[in-house]
Order: sequence, then C-alpha cells, then structure tokens
Amino acid sequence: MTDPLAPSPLMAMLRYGLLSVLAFCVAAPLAWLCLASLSPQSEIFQPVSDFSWSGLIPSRLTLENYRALMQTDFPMAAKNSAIVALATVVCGLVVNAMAGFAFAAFDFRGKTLLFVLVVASFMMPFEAIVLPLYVMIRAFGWVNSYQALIVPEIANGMIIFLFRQFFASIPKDYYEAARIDGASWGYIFLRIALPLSWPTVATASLMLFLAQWDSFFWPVVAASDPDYAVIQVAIARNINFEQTNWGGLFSSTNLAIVLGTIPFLLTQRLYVRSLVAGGIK
Amino acid sequence: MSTMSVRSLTKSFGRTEILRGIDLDVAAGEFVALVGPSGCGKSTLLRLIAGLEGASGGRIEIGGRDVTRLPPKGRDVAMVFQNYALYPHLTVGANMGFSLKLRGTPKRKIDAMVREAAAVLGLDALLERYPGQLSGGQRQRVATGRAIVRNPALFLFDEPLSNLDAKLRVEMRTQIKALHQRLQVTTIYVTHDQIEAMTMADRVVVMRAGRIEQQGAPLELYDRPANAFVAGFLGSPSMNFLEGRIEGGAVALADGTRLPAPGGAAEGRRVLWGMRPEDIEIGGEGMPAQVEVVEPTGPDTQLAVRIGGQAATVLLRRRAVLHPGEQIRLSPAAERIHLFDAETGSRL
Repeated sequence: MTDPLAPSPLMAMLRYGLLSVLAFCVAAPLAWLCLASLSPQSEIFQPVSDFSWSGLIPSRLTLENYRALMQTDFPMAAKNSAIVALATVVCGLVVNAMAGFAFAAFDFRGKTLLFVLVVASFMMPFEAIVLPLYVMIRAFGWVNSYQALIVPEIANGMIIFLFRQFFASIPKDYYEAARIDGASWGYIFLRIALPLSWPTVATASLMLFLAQWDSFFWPVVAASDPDYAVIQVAIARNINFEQTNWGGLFSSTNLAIVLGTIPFLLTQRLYVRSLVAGGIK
Repeated sequence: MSTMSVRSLTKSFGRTEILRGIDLDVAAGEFVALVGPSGCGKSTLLRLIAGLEGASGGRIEIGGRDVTRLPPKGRDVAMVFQNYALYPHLTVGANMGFSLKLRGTPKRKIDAMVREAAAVLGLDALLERYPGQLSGGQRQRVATGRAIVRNPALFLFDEPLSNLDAKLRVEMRTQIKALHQRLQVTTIYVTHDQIEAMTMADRVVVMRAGRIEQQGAPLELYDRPANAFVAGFLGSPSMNFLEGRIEGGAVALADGTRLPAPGGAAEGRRVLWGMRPEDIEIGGEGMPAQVEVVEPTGPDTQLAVRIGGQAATVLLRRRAVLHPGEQIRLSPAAERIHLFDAETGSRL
C-alpha cells in the first residue's frame, strides 16, 4: 500500500535534482583542484581554455607536483603550522575554558561589562588590531618567533562565549554539591565541569585549530622569516609577479586541506553531538 | 550527632530582606522540618547553614562551633538537593565516594564505606551504573547515600522528594524517616509539603516572609496553631475561617448566623472562627449550610458548603449521599474551635 504521507515521485525527483546540482557546485572545484594537482603542469589549464568533460580527466596521473613540493620549504611550513595550531589549541582550551567557567559560575563586579567586551572582541575585524598587536610583540622582542604566532591567538572571545554558554547550562547544584563535599573551585572545574563538556572542548579545539591552520595575514606580518613561515604563507609563495607555480599551488593547497581535515575527522563524533545539543537546549 | 543553632540570622539580596532575624535551635539527633510557602526564606536558611550563601548578620553554630564565616567544606554538613545533583559522568559508587576521595580516604576504605551505605539503602546492585541509567527513586536514594556515606555532623535536605510522583514520594518519605531513626543524625529538612513535614519531623518550623511564625511538635502545631497563617498552612484540606463578631458569647456572621465560641474574647471584637474540615459533622441543631459541591474519595466525602454566605469545607470520614443545593445542618466539635483576631490573625 502506498504511504499517503510520502512525497510524490515528481517532488522527490525535483528535490534530489536540486540537491545534486548544489552538491556538484560545492564538490566540483575541490575535485578539479585534486585532479589538477595530479596532472602534469602542461595539462592543468587545458579544460579551461578548451572546455570538455574529457579534458577534466588528466591524460596521466602523476605525483610530480607533490614530489617537487617536498623539495621546497612546504614541509617546514606544515610543521610550523602544526606546532602553532596544536600549541594554540592546548593553551587556548585552558585559558578560554577557565574564562568561560568564571563567567558562568561566579558573580563579580563588572562581570556584565567584561562579558560584553568579550563578545565585542569577536565581532571586531582582526585587521583593526593588527598594528597595535604588532607594536606589542615587537616591544616583547617576539617578531619572527613561535610566540608571536601563538600567544595573540590563545584568548578567543568566541571560544570563551561557547564555554560560558555550556557551563551556564550545567545546573549550579553540581557545583554546590561538590563544594559541600569539600572540593575547591579548581577541582570542580577540572573534575566536574570539564568532563561534562567534551563536546564543547572538541568544538573549541577544532575552531582554534582551523583558525591557526587557515591563518595568513597575521603570520605574514609577525613572522616574515622563512623559518617561521606557516602553511598558508607557503602556499601563497607559489604565486609571484614573474611566474606562478600552478602545480605547486594546487598540490600544496590540496595537502593543506587534507591535513586540516584530520582534526575534524578525529573529533567529528563529539563535534556533531555538540551542534545537536546546542540546537535543543 | 551535633547540635545546630542559629542566632539573629539575617540575609538580604540588595535591598530585599529574605531572612529577618531567625533564631533556631536543633538538638542532637533531632529531625526538624522547615515549611512555608514559596519565597518564605526556608531554602535560603538551609543554604546559609550549609555555607552556600554568606549571612548578612547573625551567627550559625554547628556542634557548638561558630561556622558563620567558614566555607561549606569546613562545616561538616551533607546536603541532598532537589535535583539530586548526581555527577552524570561518575558511577553510583564514584558519586557516593566522591567526598571521601576528596578527604584523602584510602581507596579500600572508601569502597567499604560506600558498600555499607549502599547496603543500608538497597543500592548494592547499582554501584556500577551511571545516574542516567537510574529511575527517579533510585537517584534520590543515591543522593541520600552520598550524604550519609561520610557520617556528617548535620544532614540538610532541600525539598528532596518534590521531583517524585505521589506514590514514590510516600515510599521515600518512609525510607528517609526510617533512615533517620536508624542513624540518628541531626537533620534539617526543607519542604513546602506540610504532609511531609508533619509525618517525618520531630519538630516543625513554619516560616513566612523571612520569619519563624511558630515551631513545635507536629500535632502541637496542628492542634494549637499560634495564628491564622499557621492554622491555614497546616492541614489538608486547610482549616475553615469564617469572619464574624463576638456577640453574646457566640460568633455572629454578617447574615446573623451564630456559631459557638469559647469564652474569653471581648464583646464586639472582630474574629476569625476557625474549624478543621474533619471536626464538623452533619446533623443535630447546628448551623445551617448549603451544599455546593460533593467530592466522594472512597473512604471520605468532602463537601464544599456555604455557611452564612461564606465558603467552607467539610470532610466526612464516611460515604454520604448528598446533592448540590441541599440544605443541611452542621455541628462543629465545640472543643476544636479556634478563634483568631481578625486584624492580626493571632490566636485568642
């Protein structure tokens, strides 16, 4: 028997047709990027100048662009980005989670004003504070160092807001029961609040990691030395006024995407749970 | 077992006074229930005793020791919360042993103490489960177990049964009372349910607007309430109050209906004539009344009636065949009449 509540076949076809077009629009550039990075240099722009579906498929698949990439400073840039991003995640989680917990658990004078400033901080474009930030790190003697890339990115208004919202949703009875049991605030934070917030920790880690992994403008300003170049800077170095190394550009971009996806795959389960929880609370 | 005393305790949030000078003594091993309507300050008083809020003024002593300025962990109290506050990421056993672990108790000893407390509450089979896998009643027992496991000087209960259904609430009421009789730990129990207070406590403290209205043994408060508020708060259905004036040794209602009154009240004084619904019977040469609603509950019959134009309730401890609109005569038990001043509500 036909389900009277099921959509008509025509509607289903229309819906899936539209979704397929949208999916193609999203996936096609990435697929082209991937194929282009595996194509010989001479064939990369062939489908652009002489478009045909068959032209999208390289005549032969080659790893020569990737091999060439390994001879450049790209591996060091990837290592720099990994160090910077992981250090930011570790320090950022500690600082932002503690700040979020303080906003959620304590009442203190000026709390509302301070929280408004935190919210305002992530509404402000980063470019607006680049100059004073640069003056500060130069005064500290941190230009061309890991500190210059890591420290300014640790405190993050959005992550503080995220943690604050989560900790505020935990009933205060938990904290009070622990206080009566004899727990210090530090113990309550580490043993009660934090273990309950793994989905938020996963989301915050991912956001901090991706912010650093995708970071370009600040690293260019703060660490122009090739020894401290990060992955986005290394990608951009394939483009210059005289000549653009398209093979290098596409293969490095491809690698940056693949490497940047690893943390998401690792935390995917918790990340999705956090989004769902946020939707129903 | 410890004593607990509170002297001239006050608490304000901004300009709002929540507690206005509370004096309360709890003897060692006593079970005291704090009752009162929402916002009367009973939970705030409990939180002050626990150390979760700071007092604005006054003094709190537990076991003869001034704890007014001590943090919660320095007071040796255990508290059961309305929402149980069981840590969802810890097993039942870990929840119960949490405070012992914090005190640095050796693991083997923690296990032994947790198992002992679990045996008392029938939680032996649940020690490895997580709170999310328990029913409401089981969670309540775990919360109680977490409190008793470390043998505190004082037990504090903050409306621990209010999240349970009516049947389970009656069961848990009996369990908590039996537990107190067994352990004899000094207990302060906050509830808005006067039946819970009456059935469980050695002493009931009735609060209103940040003050203690009356305290005493449950039946003492029930039989001789100090004022109309206490009289109306304790008892279900609550006491009937009919407003009238003393005339010739009786209470005359506005329509001329005369009600019997104990002597002593000044002639012409405006009074509230109080009578519990179960102390009124039908028949005799009593006051005329009109039946408005009949509510048979099985063993009892509850009537909503009008006496001299004023609403009243009658609780008959039997089945009765009556109909709305029927005229009846009611005979109150003369020795159970309460008279209160109509202005102040004080007992006369």
